[in-house]
Amino acid sequence: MTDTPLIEIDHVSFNYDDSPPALRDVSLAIAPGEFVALTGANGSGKTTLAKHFNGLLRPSSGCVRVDGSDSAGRPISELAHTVGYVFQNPDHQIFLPSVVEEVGFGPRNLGVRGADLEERVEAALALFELSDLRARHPMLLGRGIRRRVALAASYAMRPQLLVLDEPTGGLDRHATDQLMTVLHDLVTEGRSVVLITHDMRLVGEHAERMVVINGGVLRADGPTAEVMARHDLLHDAGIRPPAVARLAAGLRDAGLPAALTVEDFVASVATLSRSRTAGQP
Amino acid sequence: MNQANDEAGCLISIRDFVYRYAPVTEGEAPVTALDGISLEIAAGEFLGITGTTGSGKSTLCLALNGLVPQATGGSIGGDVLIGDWNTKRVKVPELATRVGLVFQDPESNLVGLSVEDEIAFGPENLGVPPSEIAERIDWALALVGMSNERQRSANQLSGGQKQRVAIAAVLAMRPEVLVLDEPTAQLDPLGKVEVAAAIEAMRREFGSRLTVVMVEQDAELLAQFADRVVVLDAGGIVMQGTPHAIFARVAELERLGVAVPQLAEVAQRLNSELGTDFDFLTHDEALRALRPHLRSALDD
Repeated sequence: MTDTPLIEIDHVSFNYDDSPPALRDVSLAIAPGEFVALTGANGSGKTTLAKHFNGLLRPSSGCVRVDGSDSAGRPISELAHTVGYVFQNPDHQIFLPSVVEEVGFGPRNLGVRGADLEERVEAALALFELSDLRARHPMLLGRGIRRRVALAASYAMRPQLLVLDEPTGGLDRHATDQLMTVLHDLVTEGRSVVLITHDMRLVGEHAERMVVINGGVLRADGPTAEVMARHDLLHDAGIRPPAVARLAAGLRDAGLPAALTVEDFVASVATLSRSRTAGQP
Repeated sequence: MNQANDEAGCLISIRDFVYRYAPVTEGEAPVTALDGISLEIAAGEFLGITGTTGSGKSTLCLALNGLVPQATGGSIGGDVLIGDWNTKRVKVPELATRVGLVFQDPESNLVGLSVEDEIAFGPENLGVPPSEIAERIDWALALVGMSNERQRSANQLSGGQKQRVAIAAVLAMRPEVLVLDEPTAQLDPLGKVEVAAAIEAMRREFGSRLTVVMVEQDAELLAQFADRVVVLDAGGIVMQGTPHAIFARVAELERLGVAVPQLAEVAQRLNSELGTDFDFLTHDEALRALRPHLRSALDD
């Protein structure tokens, strides 16, 4: 790849105080235009790893390069130009008295002003269906709506890389689908998305690349279809492939190829049925 | 009327129930959370409730043990009857002896004691003798697969373990009704599997002697356990029926924003593409249906 990676995690280990290492010698790079799923059980180290992307945590050893240069000594406010981070708990990032101020806070901090600021805020409000709630106090809104506020606030910063930690908890199907559309649009623009999630259906449907962390160690990193096929490794990491992938695996002896999505699965059953029927004399 | 209720084998009767939360800001209109719910739940039934965020699911859970409206204020219309107890009149601590509630957030279900003390807490408050409490601890922890953790502090447990302890703690009070409000929503996949196994064990142990109401957005869990599924939208019931009947209505559920088991979607898509008549929801059902189909395609 000719592009400089947005993020390079280079042999990073990390300890919280005197605890055993939460990350052990992890290396990975994220290039522009990638949609990466970061997966693992609770406590596996995936959030710890993601917090290194924008300097929320600093490595105990190893190096993190953001936009090609070492992030050591660079403040979060500078790294925020490149990396946006949406916390698992929206209340960790919401603190202003209205939705519109909350969404404008990040871009304003990045120095965006005037019509550009207004345009970004309006676009983010519209995208996350918050325009009618602009004057409301975020803390008096439901949890699913607060999550949309947090997502809109990060989106308005237009980061090169958006990291989302379990963004779909508390979102219903409609809001989840909308969020995924937004994320794909970002990727189409050449931005990158790192999605931390337990929802393997989302991973199968949306991520091109899947990273598995277990016990602070990077266990797998590759095209989602390849990683999802490693059932033993996933089982050890506390991950269950989506229902349709497990079903396809259960029907392998009947001639079905692996599948990650409903579309894949239905297409291969249809092909198999038709080819066999067409093979008749 | 209440007698008729019991004779019909119906344990819970919800009749034209309306609930409006008091407005958060003074002067604003109250928010209607439940808007004319009528629902009968038979003794021993496993009822699944689903719907989008804000559809009224959690409010309905709270209404089943009287927390709505006794603890939440606001105004109600209609009735919720547990047997012949009206939740408007019977106080929450008394209702808690018949209706146990497990919340979505593992932290909010436990007090932070050792696992065995978490289980003892409820029965102690009911005045159960110590020897029987010890028995109930053994039994409840074995049921949810947590016997080996009884001395540990609940604070040190994983999310899935906490939820299993919460279920055990409620079951140790020997309720007639167990209400589970999205018990796996905040768990990782391993935690979900653990809690599902505990629910499975509970079903085997109690059969029809325990009535379960489970609110879930995880359609796979509903398909696995529910005898009947109720879909809420904007505070009202918009669909109800067996999981097979409900989850066959893929397009309608998608319009409502309600999750469908992935394999139900597969069945629907195959039916429309191949003119088949598949009706599976779970992995095992799908294997049983698809194997012969693929084989016959092979043999024809």
